[in-house]
Amino acid sequence: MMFGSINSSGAIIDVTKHGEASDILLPNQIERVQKVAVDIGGSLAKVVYLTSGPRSQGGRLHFAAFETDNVEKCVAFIRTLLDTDNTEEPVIMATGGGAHRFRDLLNKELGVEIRVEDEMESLTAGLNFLIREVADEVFTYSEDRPMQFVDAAADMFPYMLVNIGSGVSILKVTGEDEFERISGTSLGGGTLWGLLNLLTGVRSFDAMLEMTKTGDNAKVDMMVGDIYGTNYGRIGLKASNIASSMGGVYRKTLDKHFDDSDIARSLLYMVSNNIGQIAYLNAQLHGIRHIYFGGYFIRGHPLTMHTLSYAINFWSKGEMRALFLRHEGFLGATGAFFIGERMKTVTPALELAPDVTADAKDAEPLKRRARAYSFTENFSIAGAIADDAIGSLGMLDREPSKLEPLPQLVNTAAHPYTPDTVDLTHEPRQQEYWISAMERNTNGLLDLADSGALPGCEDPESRQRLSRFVSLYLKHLHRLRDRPLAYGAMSVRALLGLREQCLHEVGLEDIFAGVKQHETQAALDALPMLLRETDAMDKDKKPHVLLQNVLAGNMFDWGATALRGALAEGSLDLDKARDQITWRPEFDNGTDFVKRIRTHQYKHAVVFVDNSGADVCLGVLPFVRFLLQRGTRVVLAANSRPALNDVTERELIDIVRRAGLIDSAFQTNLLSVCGTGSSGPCLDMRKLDARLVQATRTVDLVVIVGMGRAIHSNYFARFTCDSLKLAVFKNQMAADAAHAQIYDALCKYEQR
Amino acid sequence: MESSSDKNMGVPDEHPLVSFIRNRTLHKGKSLPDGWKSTVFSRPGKDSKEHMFRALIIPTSDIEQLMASVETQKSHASGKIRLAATGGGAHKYKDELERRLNVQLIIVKELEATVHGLLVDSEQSVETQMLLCNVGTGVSLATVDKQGEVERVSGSGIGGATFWGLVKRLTQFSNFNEAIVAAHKAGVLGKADTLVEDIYGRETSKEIGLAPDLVAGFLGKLDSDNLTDADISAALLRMFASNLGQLAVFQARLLGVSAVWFAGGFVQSASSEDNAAEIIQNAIAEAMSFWSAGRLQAQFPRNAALLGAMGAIHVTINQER
Repeated sequence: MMFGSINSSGAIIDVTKHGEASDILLPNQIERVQKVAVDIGGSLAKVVYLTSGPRSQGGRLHFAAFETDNVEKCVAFIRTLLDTDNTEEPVIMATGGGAHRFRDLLNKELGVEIRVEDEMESLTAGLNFLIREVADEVFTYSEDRPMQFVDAAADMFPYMLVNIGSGVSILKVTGEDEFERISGTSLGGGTLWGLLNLLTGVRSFDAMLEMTKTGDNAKVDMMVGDIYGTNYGRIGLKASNIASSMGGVYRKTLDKHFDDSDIARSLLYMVSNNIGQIAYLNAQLHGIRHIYFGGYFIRGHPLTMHTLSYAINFWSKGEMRALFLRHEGFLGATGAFFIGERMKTVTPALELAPDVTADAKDAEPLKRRARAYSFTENFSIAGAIADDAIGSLGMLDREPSKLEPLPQLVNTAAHPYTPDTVDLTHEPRQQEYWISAMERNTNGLLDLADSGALPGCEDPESRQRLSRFVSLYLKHLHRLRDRPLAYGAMSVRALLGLREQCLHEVGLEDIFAGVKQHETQAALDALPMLLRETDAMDKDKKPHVLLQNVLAGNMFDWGATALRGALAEGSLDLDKARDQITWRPEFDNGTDFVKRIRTHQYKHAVVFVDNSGADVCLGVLPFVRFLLQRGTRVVLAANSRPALNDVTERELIDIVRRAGLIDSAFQTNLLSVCGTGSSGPCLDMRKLDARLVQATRTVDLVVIVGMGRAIHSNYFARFTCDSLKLAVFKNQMAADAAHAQIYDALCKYEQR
Repeated sequence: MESSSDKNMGVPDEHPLVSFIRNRTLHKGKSLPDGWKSTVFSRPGKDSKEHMFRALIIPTSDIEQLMASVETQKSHASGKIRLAATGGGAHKYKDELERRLNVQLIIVKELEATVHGLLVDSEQSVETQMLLCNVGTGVSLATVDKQGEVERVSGSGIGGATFWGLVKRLTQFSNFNEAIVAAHKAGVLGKADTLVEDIYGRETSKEIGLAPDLVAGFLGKLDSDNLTDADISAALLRMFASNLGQLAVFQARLLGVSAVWFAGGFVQSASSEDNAAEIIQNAIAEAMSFWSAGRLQAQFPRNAALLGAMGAIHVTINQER
């Protein structure tokens, strides 16, 4: 059966399709393919494969889709994957109806072992993985509120999966490996296709869905109003409700003129409504509230999702909600991939991350391996399952370690945590501002490099990479302007994170490395003098000044355009910077902190640091020294990978070592440095490197420094211990959003 | 759509409408206009006396003929009688019927009338928990509580008109019964559907324990070249009946009801010259049995076409008391 023409070759990578920088985007050029899984359905063949290489040392999952009618194309694609001579294990995991049918073909063509996995088991394994690991994977949908992302990982089970392909399967999932097929219906995607094909002559499912957009079902359906004239309120039917799908086409008295698009819309409604109703009945019978819809039928098509949502909401009187997935279509292939991982006895492609949480070590059976590490979605190369799909998919980068929440983070039903202070999705003005700001900044990058302001980026190779980055990132920004929800909820954190992903993707690991080095040297040179000055201060005055210097240091920031001039001059005058800051009581209760530490000694503090140079050396380190001298253990948490001019874990270790040579107070085992696991200028406190989480178990003071981590993200974060958020509103829009003025201090001390 | 009980029997100045019906139902086999049918039967009433029903069934399009006949015999001796009425046409013809026939229409809501009609016809009380699937243009699923209150608990837009609308668009059949009978006689099931074997291949289906001829997707092979109209009609009927059965079984399980009745225009097809009704009822019964794994059976009323009229009378009389 032919279901339609989807981006047939290569699939899902529509960035490539549109001819964009394809030279850097070929998936297997440098990366080594480690493992392949394929899900051959009635209409599409979906491929999930893992690579590792310079850009993704932890491993990277890619997603691609092909028409099943063109299965040769899919086989050819898999062959190129395997041809990268280094595929470690010539076993391909396969699932889906076609896996059986094409097993021999694959075996003959590829000469590798094909291991066929149960379809339902693969679906649930894939779904469990995606819910748990992928941010903004799950969303609700309605025409008024498209794509409301839901954090479904916390309270996952039980749930129901309604998988709509040619037919419909309904699974009840009660645990990680516990599921049963409770029902289904054969009135599904195949029915819609069969009917529309014969009624309209259109053969492509895509084209059918396209037709539904302009159709008016009231022209072919018998509406409640056609029978009763007006609203038939008593039985809960509105005049605009459908009394009978396609029931109006033969009633001459209704005298309706209709065309193919009207039929297409009517039948889409008919099938979707019916599936929604059967899903509701099953959920109700099994006492389930969360209903996931997946499968080829949906593929991000807005009208379909709206109808399914409407049906669930209508029948359950708002008690249940329909949930959709950005990776729908890839559940089976993803699941088969991880089932393959579980079964391995030797060298799994994805090894168990060094497990620092000792308590989990023995408890985790072999089959749980697939969850022992975390993934971050990388949108630098993004695609979509269908041309009009509402969401896009990135690649999934495996983090070097498992990411876990900060132990002190409050994230409960009463106080849910969200890393983003402003959801730009619902703030068109701010959305426009930030996209424009990113565009300006990106456009200025080449000039900046040409002016010599980015030492280390002058060579032609780097220059070329930089221009690739500029075109890649601008293209993403352009897409986000059109479809703000394409990559999940839009936030400053997401935009900045995507920027770093694009830089890394073109091979620019750290364009500010030279700048940072230069600034850090200058700052360390000034450190001895600063320490002498503050040590000479009055005992009561000193803590105030140290606290204020953290903010003054944070003023020196390449990330803030406003300060770039001063920095370029090499001026590191903390006093001058401090004078630029306004201290308002609404945003500054630093005196409360100073009062508190007069009588209270914190045992263990974690300090999330921001920029290199003056910020960390002259602002943070003297403050940390003050804590250390009072006997407080301090963990300095820095980015694991470069982002803007933020100091990285590796750089910070070096800085602390050098500071120790300047002042012995830094040579203490009370002080340690740990990576956050993050590679962006903002921070999601739910996703920290497990080593950091282990090192912060006894922390009773959380300190967060800088605009990215304390204003754009975590502004509203609550902790079970005391916390201190230190930053300067260096950006007009961020200041406006908080009703602050530019260069206002944020010195927010919260006592628990 | 209209009916009368034998309440007025024996009254000398009988209303002409009552006489009209009596005259045409007195003798079995009395010749009636084309498409007209008559039947007489009795059911126990609340007072446990047998109540006799005289029913005359005519096409709605002949209502003008009926009005014209009764109008001429208008007797001044009889007063205005009350006429229990239901169905979409009750509203449409209310004014005309009242003006021309010297009657006062008491309109009962269709679903309420049908449910109560079923109770009378099947000699059940409201104490018996049941689910009625009324399959007309669309589908309504209704229950009745112990106070006689009828509730539409669910419904579907995939109804009789959907089936017929699709048959009409996809085949050359000129009437409903023809399509049903042909589906039964000449339709080959599975030709128009995507079967398990179409997805997995015949051998693999067996290997993984699925019946190769199980339908995976209804109508998924409507693009096949060798389909006859009968094949298409058969596939549509099976899809429609299966969906109906599934909705009914799940709804019955939700309500904890074990008696599931089917009524409405689709179940009781208009003409009895062929076995269309039986074919449809068998299809529904099979679907019910499939979805309930044999635990629930589809039940069909004896006088399916008359439930609305019987119920309308029942409800109206109860209101009088």
